Formats: sequence, structure tokens, C-alpha cells
Amino acid sequence: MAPSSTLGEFEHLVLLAVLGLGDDARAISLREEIAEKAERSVTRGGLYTALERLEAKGLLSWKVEASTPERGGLPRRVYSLTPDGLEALRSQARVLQRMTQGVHDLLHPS
Amino acid sequence: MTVPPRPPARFEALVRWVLGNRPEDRFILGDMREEYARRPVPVRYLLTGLAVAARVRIGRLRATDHPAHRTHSREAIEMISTVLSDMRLALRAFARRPAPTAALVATLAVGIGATTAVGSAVRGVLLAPLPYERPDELMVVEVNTGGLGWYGMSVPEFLDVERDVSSFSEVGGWVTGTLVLGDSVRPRRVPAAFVTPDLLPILGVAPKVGRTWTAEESVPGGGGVAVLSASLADELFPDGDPLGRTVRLTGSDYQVLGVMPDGFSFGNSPVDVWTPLGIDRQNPAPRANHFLTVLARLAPGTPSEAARAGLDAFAASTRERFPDSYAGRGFRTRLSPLHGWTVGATRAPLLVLLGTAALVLLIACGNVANLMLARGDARTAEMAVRSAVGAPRGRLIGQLLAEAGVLAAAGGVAGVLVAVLGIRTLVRWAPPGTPRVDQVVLDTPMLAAALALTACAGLLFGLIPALRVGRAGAVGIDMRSRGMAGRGRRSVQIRRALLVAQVAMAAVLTVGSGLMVRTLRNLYDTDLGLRSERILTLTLDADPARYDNAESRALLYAQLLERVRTVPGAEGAAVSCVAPMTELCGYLSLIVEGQEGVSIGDAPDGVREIVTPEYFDLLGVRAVSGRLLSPDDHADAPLVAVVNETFAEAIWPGQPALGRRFRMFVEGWPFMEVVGIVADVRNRGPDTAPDPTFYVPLAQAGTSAYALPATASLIVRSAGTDPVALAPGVREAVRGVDPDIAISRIRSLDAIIAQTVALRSFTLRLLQLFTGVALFLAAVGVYGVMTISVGERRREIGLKKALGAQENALVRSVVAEGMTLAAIGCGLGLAGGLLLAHWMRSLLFGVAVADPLTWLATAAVLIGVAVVSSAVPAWRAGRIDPMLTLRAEG
Repeated sequence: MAPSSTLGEFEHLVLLAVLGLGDDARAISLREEIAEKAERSVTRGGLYTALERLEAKGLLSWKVEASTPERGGLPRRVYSLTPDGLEALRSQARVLQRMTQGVHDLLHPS
Repeated sequence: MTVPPRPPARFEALVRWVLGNRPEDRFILGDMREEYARRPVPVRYLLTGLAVAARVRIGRLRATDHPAHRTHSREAIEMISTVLSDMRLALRAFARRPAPTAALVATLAVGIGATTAVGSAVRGVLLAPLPYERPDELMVVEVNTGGLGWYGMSVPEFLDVERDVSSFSEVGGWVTGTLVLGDSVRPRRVPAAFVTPDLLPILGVAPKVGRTWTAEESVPGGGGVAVLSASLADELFPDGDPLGRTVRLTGSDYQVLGVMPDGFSFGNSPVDVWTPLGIDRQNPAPRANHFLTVLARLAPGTPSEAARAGLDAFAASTRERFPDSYAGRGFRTRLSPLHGWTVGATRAPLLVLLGTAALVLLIACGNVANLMLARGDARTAEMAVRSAVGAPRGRLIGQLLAEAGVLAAAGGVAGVLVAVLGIRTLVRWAPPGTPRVDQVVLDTPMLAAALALTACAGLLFGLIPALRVGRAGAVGIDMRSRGMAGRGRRSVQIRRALLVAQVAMAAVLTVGSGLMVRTLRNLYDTDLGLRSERILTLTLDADPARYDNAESRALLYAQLLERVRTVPGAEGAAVSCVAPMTELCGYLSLIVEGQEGVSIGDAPDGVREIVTPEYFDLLGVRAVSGRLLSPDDHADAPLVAVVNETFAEAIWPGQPALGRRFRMFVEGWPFMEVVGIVADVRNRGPDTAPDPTFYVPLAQAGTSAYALPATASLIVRSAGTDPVALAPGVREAVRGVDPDIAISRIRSLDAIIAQTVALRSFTLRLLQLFTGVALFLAAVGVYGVMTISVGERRREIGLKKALGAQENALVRSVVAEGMTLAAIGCGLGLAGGLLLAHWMRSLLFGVAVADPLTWLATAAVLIGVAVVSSAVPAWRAGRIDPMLTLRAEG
């Protein structure tokens, strides 16, 4: 199945943020990143749910990092894209590119 | 390195539980901790944490959505999640409009706090049962055998009651007084109770260690034993067992038999020493000597009416048996439950204050309702939109409920704080001698009632917009004119009705305050008959064993006066038996020359004052005729007395009193001659008529007026304005004469007088506070309603203006509307004020219940408040731009 067909708008934003943040792709920074760049508020609960869903779809994976004093021994997850995740983003980008061809001037008025 | 802040463990555990306690979710808790370290706000942690956890759980359930998974726990979690998100929305909505929200919370806090504080005091002081065994059976017996009011019994009367009245199972008596504790190191007075052997057993309270006295120990001369209060025992014997130790009290040694339980108290003043009252049953004290307060326990199953009838019969037979004692004055008895007797005069003011606090709470509820209605109106359109796009009605109601709940919770928390502060203030302001005031604590049922009432008001009026949506149907709302004509007519009417009610209640409070202000002014304006400024009084206790006769005592007082006069800053000094305006030095039966042979029941009586000659000049007591006392009235000079006008008129009505002679009732005491008449002094306070009083010179008191006590009051006038500043110098002077003299009750005479009106000034202070709050809340109410009314009439006003109406006329019409509403409220309030005034009658002095000045002032104040608070909305109405409103119309 084509991954792009099941990617919601919010999930799309989450994947892009994970890609952009690289080694710092943790839930807290993801939320801040999306809030800042996409200018929408993100509830924590919604973000965790989306992350679980994306993991279940095989688009995301995570690894555990060492704890910090603020976390008092509790683990920290850093997310990264799976090859499928990267492919899904790429196919979305291609779709967008195709769709915006010819309307570029309207979308970016000088 | 500093440790980063951690969320409270309980909150974290709760969040983990809602998350489902899965180990793989520990990173979420870690994220939450990290965010908490940045902003350590526990409540915020709890709310967000629960919301996150609920959302994650629901997300998982949805991911595996299947009818089989529709469990109760899922429904519960969905519900929690909804409530939490509603609350979050509510918080956000409030954060957007902080001013009205703060006003609401403050209003709630004041209403809840004031009512809870006063209610706690009422329940603590008036309603809590007395801490004795079967307290309902305890009664106080008082008598009247002439003179003012009700007072204690004499020893023979007490013995008769004990023997003859069968309605009582036990009878005991007590006298309170003071004893001087210690020796020359630091003598001081301690409050003491002299009690009959039965008294403590009647109460059903045993000492916590040791015992009370036996019958043998309580006969006169058998004494020398005492039971101490727990606090005094701890102070005197911090190291160990007080039993069997001795304490020195007023020059004698007392053996400590026992210690009462912690916090035990009896009567209205603290007692530190209980000691037996020696009653000589064979040869009791005189029948006319009424000093013993009598406590009786009703026999099991005896109603108090039966006991009252029994006492009446006893009184009748006593009058017959002792015609000499009672023929002229009668003998009446009164039986009061100990509870009512203890609470006494505090009852009326506390109930009045509770009533007024409740009014403040109602006004606050009115404001809450008003503000919620206003919010609701503003959101009718929002509700309609949400309903139109498919929000179920239950969801809308839930949202409004959450908002009201958040408000009620915030108001409740703030209200508890106000209540705690309020109780502290009440206890501090309470007049000295207020019974059981130390037992007042925050009363949970009272707090719960106040919270429930305000929450109800909030919910009821908060829900109106949601109900309206349901009724009108989503589409029925006029979306075009949102915020203007869309406001329900009905809610404007409700709001006006609320406003009228608020103004009415504020008027009731203003009437109450006004009457109390007038009362206090009357009390302070009453001529007491003496000048109190710059006067210091202190009580001196000399060792009666060392100064065991009148000569040595007179000499001591003369030496003291001589020393005190040399204290820098002292203008003059005098000695009297008791400090002015405190207690009586004795109410004594007398024989008037020419009327010898009358029975004690027919003999006149009067208050004895024992004073040095400087007394009159020092206190500004005016001579009416004859002369004042002088230093020439020494012990060997002819015996003389000065009497007050009431005395002269009572004993020699219509005749000249100068030159007449009278003496103590008891055979053998010499006559003294009236050499002067002075103006009356209102010794019991400004609201009580003066007693017939005679003044004997201190030097002659041992010869002419039974005794010269070893306890006396020193009165000093200071050159400076603060008489209390003289105290150290005076104390030094007294020590210089005799270091063993205990000095106590150092007070200015002004402070003593203030205390006689303390209960009323306490009531007034609180009433004024409540009235201020009520007027403020009413002003807020008027402002709110008029603002909305102007908003509602925007188009009408705009149109009028476009047609040429004057700005002034528009302003006037708005103010007039506010005034009309206020006037209606005021009218209702004045009627209610009549009820309140009637209720607080016993607190008033020199002012009629329907005092026209108070009523006019109340009306003026309320109309004034209405004018001021409608001024801003009116001014806005005047500035409405007709073009804007008319354009909006198009």
C-alpha cells in the first residue's frame, strides 16, 4: 500500500519535525518545533498518540537515551524515521511538488 | 549542584495510574518531569499530566476500536478526558478575561470567608455544648432581693436551697476573685475560684491528677488546699509532680491537691486556682450578703419548668419565714440554663453578625449570578454556533458546568483563606471576657454550606445560556445581531431583579451599621460624671497579714501616695477601694438616723466607695452642694461621708441631705454625717443608671464602713497625654515603699471605659466591614447591569441621538434608570432594616429602632452609590456614535 495515502496532516508535520530535528527528536522538542514552525498548538497527549500511531505504521522508530538530572532516572526517547517513513515523506513531497507546479506564482506572490 | 524540582509524588503516581502503569510509558513521565523542572507548578502538572494520560489511553483504545473494547473503564476515561479538556478550556477562557474573573473569585471569597468566619464563631461560642457531663441539666440560680438585676445568693439561702428544693440532685456555689501568688520576688495576682465541695463533682469533671478536697478540708480553717489549672501547674512546677507541693497565695501556704485537665474552664473568665470556700453551716454569713453564684443539677427526669415552680415555692416560703429580711424588698429567684448564662450578652451581637454575614454572602451570590449571566449572554452566539455544527447539548452543558466548577473551586479556596484570616481577626478583636472565644475554629459544616450556596448560584445562572440554546434551537438564535438584541430579555429582567435584591440587602446592612454608629456615639457622648483623660489606674495588693489593721493600711496608702506624687510626670494621685468604672466596692444595707429598728428587708442600701480626698479633684467629680472630703477628715476627726445625688434623692427624697446621718446596718457601727453632695458617676458604664453611692474617707473606713481592705486601686494623673507611660515610674515608687506589694491591672481609665462598650464597638467594627463590602458589591452590581442595559439600548440611543437628542438627556436617562432600580431596592431594604433593627434592639442605646436620621442617611448613601456607579455607563451612552450603531443596523 502506498504509505502517503494513510498519512494525516498532523502525522505529516510530526514526521517532518522528526526529520528536521535529527538527534534531538524528542517529544518535548518536537512539540516546540511544530508549535513554532507550523504555528499551531499541539497537546502533549495528541503528540504521544500520533507518535505511537506512526510507530505502529512502521514509519518511526526510537531508541532510549541516558537520563538527565531533571528526569530523575526516567528514560528518554529519541525518535528517528524508518526507511518507510523517509519514503512516505518523499512521496508526499513529490505529490506536493507536482501539485504546486503551474500555481507557483499564485502561491508566492512577489 | 542543586537538585531540580520534582513533581509531588502523589500527583505523579496518579498520572502513572491513569496512563495504565506500563513500564514503556516511563519516558512520558520523564518528559513531564523535565517540563516540571522548567515550570514547577504542581496544579499545572496535575492537570496537564492527567489530560496527557487520558488522551494517550483513549488514543490506544481507539487504535484497537472494537465493540468488545467498549468497557466501563473506557467510558470512565473518556469522561475524565472530556471534563479535563472542559476545565482547560474554562481556564483559558478565564485567563483571556482576567479582570471579571478576579472580581468573581474575590466576590466569592469575601462572601464565603465572612460567613464561614462569623458562622464558626457563632457555633463555637453559642451552639457548641458545654464541656461538662450532661450539660443540659446544669442550671444557675440567681436571686433578686431589691436593687438592680439578678445576682448570687447568700450563704443561708444557698443552704436552704440545698436542703429544701427537691428538683435539684446536687447544688454547689462559687465566688471568683483573685489571690496574690508568690512572695517578694515577683508577686502577681492570679484568678481564683472559691468553691463549695460539691461544685466540681456537679460538673462531672475530675482533676487530671490528684483529687479535690474532702468535706473536712472545706470547712473554715480546715483549708490551705488548692487545685491548680494545668497551665499554672506547668508554669510553677515544670520539672515534675505538683501533688503535695505548696504554693504561697496571699500570704498563706496552700497544699496542691490536684491539677485540672488542660483547657478546663468554668464561667466566663479563666481560673488558675480552685480552693474550697469555707462555709460555716452552724454560723453562716449574713442573709443579706449575696455573693455566692449557685450552680444546680436538675434531678434526673425533672424538667426545668418543674424546677422553676419548686424554686418559686421555695422563694414564697422563704419570704414568709424571714419577713425581716425580705418583707420590704421581696425575694425572687431566676433559673437559667448554664449555657445561656455563660453565653449571656454575646448572643445578640453574634446572631446579628451572623445574619449580616449571611446577607453579604447572598449579595455575593447575586453578583456571581449576575456575572455568570453576563458571560452566558456574551456566549449565547458561541453556544449556538457550536450547537449548529453538531456539539451535543450535554457537551455544552458540561463545558459551562466545568467553568462554574472552576470558578467555585477558586472562590472556595480563596474563601477558606479569608475565613481563616477572618477567624483570627475575630478572636483578636473579640472583647475581653467573650466566653469560649479561644475555642473558635474553622467550622467545616459552615464552610460546606457557604460553598454549596455559592456553587449553586454559579451553576444555576451559569447554565442558562446552554438551556436557552436547547430551547431556541440552534438555528433560532439571531446570529446577525450577536451580542446586542440577541441578549435575552428575560436575563435582563433577572439581572434587574437581582440588582434590586442586592441593593435591598445592602440597605439592610447600612441601616444596621448606622444604628450602631449612633449607639456608640451616644454612649461616648454620655456624661459619665468624671474626667477620664490622662488617668492611670493600677491595683495594689498588700499582704493582709503584714498590714493587719486599718491604721497600718492607712499609713501604707499615705506613704504610697507621697512617693507616687514625686514620680516625674505625675500630676496627682489618689487611692480608692476599686478603680473607677470597674467593679463595686460593696453594696451595703444602711440604717438612717431616725429610722433605727427597720428590718434588713426594709433598710435602704447604697454603694460604698472608700477614697482619699484627692479622688474628686483628680477625676473631676463635681460637688453639687456642701464640701468635698479633705485631709482633715482623719481617723480621729468626726466621721463624715459625701453622697451622690441619686443617694440623697433615694434616701431623703425632697429633703436636704446635708447634715443628715447614716451608718452601716450591723449593730454597733457609728453614724457618719453627710457633709457634701456630688454629681452622679455612671460607674457601670454609660448605658446604666448610676447607683446610690456614698464616699467615706479612707482614713475613717476602718471605723465607719466595716473595713479598709489591703487591696486598693491607685489612681494617678499624668502631665503627658499617655498615662500608661507613667507605669514604670509608679511601679518603682510602689516597690520603694514595699517590694512585696503585687501590682496588677495597669490600665488607663480611657481603656477601662472603652471596655465597657467593647462588645458594641466590636459589633460595630464588623458591621462596618460588612456594610463596606456590601456597598461595594452592590455598586459592582449596579455598574454591571447599567453597562449591559446601555449596550442593549445602543441602537435606540444611537437613533435618538441621530434624531437630535441631547447628550445630557441621554446620560440623565441612564442614571435615572439606575436610581430607579436602587430606589426600589432601597425601599425594600429599609423595610428589612426595620426587622434587623428590631432584632438588635438590645444592642442599641439612645436611638430609636426607626431612627429617621439613620434611615435618611441609608437612602442617601445607596442612591449616591447608584448614581456614582451608573455614571460610567451613562457617560458611555452619551458618547455613543449614532453613525456606528446605525451602520451596524444596516
